[in-house]
Amino acid sequence: MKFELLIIDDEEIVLMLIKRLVLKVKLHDNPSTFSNGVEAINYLHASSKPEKAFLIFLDINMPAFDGWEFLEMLSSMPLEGSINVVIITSSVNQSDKNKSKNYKEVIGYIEKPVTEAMMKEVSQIEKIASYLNP
Amino acid sequence: MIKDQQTYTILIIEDNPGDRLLVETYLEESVLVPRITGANSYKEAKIILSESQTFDIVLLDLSLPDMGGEELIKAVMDIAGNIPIIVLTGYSDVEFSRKSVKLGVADYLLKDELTSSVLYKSIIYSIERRKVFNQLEESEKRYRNLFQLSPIPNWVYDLKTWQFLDVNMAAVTAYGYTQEEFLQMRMLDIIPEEDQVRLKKTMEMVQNQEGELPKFSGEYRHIKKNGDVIFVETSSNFLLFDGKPARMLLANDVTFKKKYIEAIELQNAKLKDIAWIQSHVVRAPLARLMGLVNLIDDDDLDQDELKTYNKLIMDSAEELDKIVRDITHKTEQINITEIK
Repeated sequence: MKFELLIIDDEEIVLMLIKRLVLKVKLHDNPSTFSNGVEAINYLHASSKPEKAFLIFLDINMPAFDGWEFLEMLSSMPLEGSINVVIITSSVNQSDKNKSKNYKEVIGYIEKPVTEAMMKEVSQIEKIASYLNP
Repeated sequence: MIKDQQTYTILIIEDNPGDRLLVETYLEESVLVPRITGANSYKEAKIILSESQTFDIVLLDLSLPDMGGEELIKAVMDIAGNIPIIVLTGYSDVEFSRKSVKLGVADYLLKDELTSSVLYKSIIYSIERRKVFNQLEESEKRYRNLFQLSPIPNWVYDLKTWQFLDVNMAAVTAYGYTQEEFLQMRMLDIIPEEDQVRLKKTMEMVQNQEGELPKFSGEYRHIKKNGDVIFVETSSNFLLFDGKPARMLLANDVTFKKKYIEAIELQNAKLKDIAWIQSHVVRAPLARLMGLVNLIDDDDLDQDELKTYNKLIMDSAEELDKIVRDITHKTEQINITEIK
């Protein structure tokens, strides 16, 4: 099953770094990048279909519209298809990690910096692995 | 009759030798060891009493050659200090006997009716009564001192009119009003105007409960004569002051303590801020930096890419540096020891 990968982070460099690693470990061949959550929400709103699957790499600490607000909006929107989120954050607060468990869409939590090894681990997450090796 | 074993030191002021002898005889009948000193005149008594105040009792005849009557009673009371005085007289005058007791003599005995037991009983009662009176006076003085010398401002105010009835030195020193000024003021005069409505309600509640509310405390603002507003923790107790329902109020200045706590709370907030920055803001460029360094380890980078990444690494490092400086600045903003 084909899936779309969305990377959301307010820092261009981080977007570039994550994209490089995604390509390198062959998690996805064409990820889309978004420098804020609103753009990503708009994109999802426009392109979600029942048969589609989305994987989102989400940064938490972003100006104006942060990762938590993104997740709140995501769960309140009538989106179609399957949507899963992996949080990629620079925070090392346990409270952030605990909070992320309140959202059913969140299937992974990564503390930056993201390494090649970590990205490989992401591909091992059950849901994602099922996309990669159907 | 069993004689009293105790030693009594007695001063008899009496010019008539016969009367004195009679009194001495009565004393010896009831007391085992009476130590009797005699004085023939007021003048002599004055000399004796100025030399020694160790008498247990003074027996005073009211008609001496150099003084008599009310004048004599007053004069002897002056020099006798705390020693009880029993008046012995030949004249039965109920009105005068009452008056002399009012003046402070312990008892008033008629010579014609004197017996050994009457005299003995009067002496013992007078001495014991004086002891109790002295104790009362002492304890009153002690409480008076506790109020006056307390380092914490204290007032007594009338529960009906809220007028101050008494005030101690600490209140005078702390608030800047003289004692006379305070006694012209009412309780609400030391409350800032904007707090008066709120306090009036509380005070009416306290007023209505009178003695039902033995102790009441709270935190309020007071205003000094110079207009300074201070925070105080107050505590008050119900009491009867000269028969009037009143409350004794004590106010502990907690302005400094309050400021100190506020500063600590502010500092706590800043520290929480710093902890948050630590986790979210500091780690962002740091994580980016680490990510970039990982990238450089890759072999398949050309010279141009390397140059770009090196610059990005330096930018991240500089950003990190700026954040660390900001944190330091934030930490230095509040210095608790500077609070005055």
